[in-house]
Amino acid sequence: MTDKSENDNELVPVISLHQVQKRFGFGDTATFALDGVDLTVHRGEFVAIMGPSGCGKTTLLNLIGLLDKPTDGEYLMSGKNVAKIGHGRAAKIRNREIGFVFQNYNLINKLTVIDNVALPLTYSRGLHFRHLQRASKVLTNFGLQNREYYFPYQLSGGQNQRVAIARALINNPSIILADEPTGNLDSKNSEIIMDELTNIHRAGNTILMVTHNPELLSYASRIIRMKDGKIDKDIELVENPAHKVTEQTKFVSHRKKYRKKGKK
Amino acid sequence: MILPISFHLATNSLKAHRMRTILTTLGVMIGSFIISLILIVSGGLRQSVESQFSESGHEDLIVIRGQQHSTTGMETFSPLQIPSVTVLTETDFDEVAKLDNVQKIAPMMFLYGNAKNDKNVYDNVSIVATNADFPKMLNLKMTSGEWFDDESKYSQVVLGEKLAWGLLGDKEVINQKVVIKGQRFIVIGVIKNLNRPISATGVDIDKTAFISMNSGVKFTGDVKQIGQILIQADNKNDAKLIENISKTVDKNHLDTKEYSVGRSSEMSGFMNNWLETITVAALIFAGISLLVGGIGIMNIMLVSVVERIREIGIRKAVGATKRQICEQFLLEALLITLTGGFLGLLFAYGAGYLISVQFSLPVVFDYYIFVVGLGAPLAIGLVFGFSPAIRASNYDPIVALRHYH
Repeated sequence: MTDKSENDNELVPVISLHQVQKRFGFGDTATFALDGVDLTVHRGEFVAIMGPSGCGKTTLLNLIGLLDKPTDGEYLMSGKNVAKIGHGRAAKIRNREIGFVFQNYNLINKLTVIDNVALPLTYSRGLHFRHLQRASKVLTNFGLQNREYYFPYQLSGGQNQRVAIARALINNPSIILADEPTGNLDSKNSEIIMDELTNIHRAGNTILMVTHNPELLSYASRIIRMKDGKIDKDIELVENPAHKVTEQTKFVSHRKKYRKKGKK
Repeated sequence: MILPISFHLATNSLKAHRMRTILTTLGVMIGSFIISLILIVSGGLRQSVESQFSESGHEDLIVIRGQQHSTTGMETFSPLQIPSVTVLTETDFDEVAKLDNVQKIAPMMFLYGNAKNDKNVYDNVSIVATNADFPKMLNLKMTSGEWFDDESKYSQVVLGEKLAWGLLGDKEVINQKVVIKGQRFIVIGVIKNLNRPISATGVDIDKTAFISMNSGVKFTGDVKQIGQILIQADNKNDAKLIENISKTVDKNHLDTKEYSVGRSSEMSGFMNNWLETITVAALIFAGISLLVGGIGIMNIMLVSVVERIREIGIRKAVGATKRQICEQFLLEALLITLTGGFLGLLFAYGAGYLISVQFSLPVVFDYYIFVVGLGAPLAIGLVFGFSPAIRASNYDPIVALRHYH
């Protein structure tokens, strides 16, 4: 599972969790949000994580995204041990390798759309106007180039989430973590967003998506079911449904973007 | 450090809460304004004093001044301290006049009262009774008329030019009558404007009326109550003379040090000491006001931080380190304080310019004014912005993302 000896990018799993535990509290009142999770995700997978409330899926996502640290267990990201790294290094890795998409978009309302998309870049090196250039390009790919200087509150929910996805992608991360990305959207916008994620997946990205909505499972290539802090079921879908085509995706497939260029 | 980017982020945040930013900046600006103004005015005063003493227009004089009893005679020897203690006596004067190396000597009796003629009245005019050596020692020039004669029986007065103008206008001034402290005097001379309000004499000559000792003692029951004695030495090596003066006066006053002796050229030094003391006191109060501004900054930053907890979570989620968050908030505080400081300095120079025009002081641009005027707000920003910035950086991103304001 953890092929550290191999230098070949493709064989080293992006995410490798081994007996990961997350405990809150001590002694008799301790609760285990994650109670011995083993999980391996390879590059290019689109994993949907399902489960009842409180089963630990959000905790798992946070942990994978280095927003949280396991109380026990191993976590290797692309072969590197990241279970016990400090805040600073975690932030740097998060900046470069991880893109979050949240249910409530989590855009900064007082920044323009383009500033929001460029936000991850502002925390890494480079000239500001170059960052804006990149952000502008990504927004054009999303068809939002006319909204660059709008503010989030001036856009619809669907548009906001697309901006959030653009933000998640701007630094070409290894992993995209989506926590109920369509939770605040109507069905039409949900479809647009899922199409967007599908395209991103097709371009070779790795996506982990937490969802309550069973209809969305068909977009994934692998479904994980969690219960009481453990993984209950782990189903690999034989047929990759990423070929599901709608009007939107037909147009989108011509766009050259999200190409993974390998390890940075 | 990603300073240029943080700058962009910081200005964005400040623009988003315009009113709040403006008010906080105003607080700092006021503190900085006061501090800068104090420094500018005191700098101007110091320069003015120094130039007045360095080009006093006359040779160095020895000044004996009566003053309150003090243990160290030289301390309060300041030209601005108007001699109100008339300790020195006629005996002092006569005996000092007899000492070696005394070329010219003039007594000064300080009187105050009103001066009026038909048209104008001035209360609290400075009146000095002295002798004919006085104008020679000070190299005074007359615009018209002449100085009085020591022996004259007539009540004659010589006016400083500004006083003459105020009382009598531009008419022919000589031989006009002026009533001083109820006595009639005839104007026999007008002194040319010196524009030197501060001098070794202790009065602003331009606004003073000079009468003879004989006239003066009429106001004091025929007793020569001398406040100050000016001496011009023959020979520049006057140290011995000063020593002898001290001995003589001591003898007459039973060794109570009710006077001080010094050179007029050294007075600027004392003046500056005195000025410095006042400036420091004023700066302390100004500093307190700036401190208050700083507390305002801390307050508003804390509020701002709490309001933006969610934003901090988002920033951390996209990869901001604690340090970067801290830098951002600190930078916001610094932007406010530096802007306030700069504006305060600007307005201080504006006000300083107006003051210097009004009081004929030079406008100073010494480096220390800029260092303090900008440095103090900067320090305030660092000190008072630090705590909120650290607090901001320490929020756990997961908790922060759940936060609703």
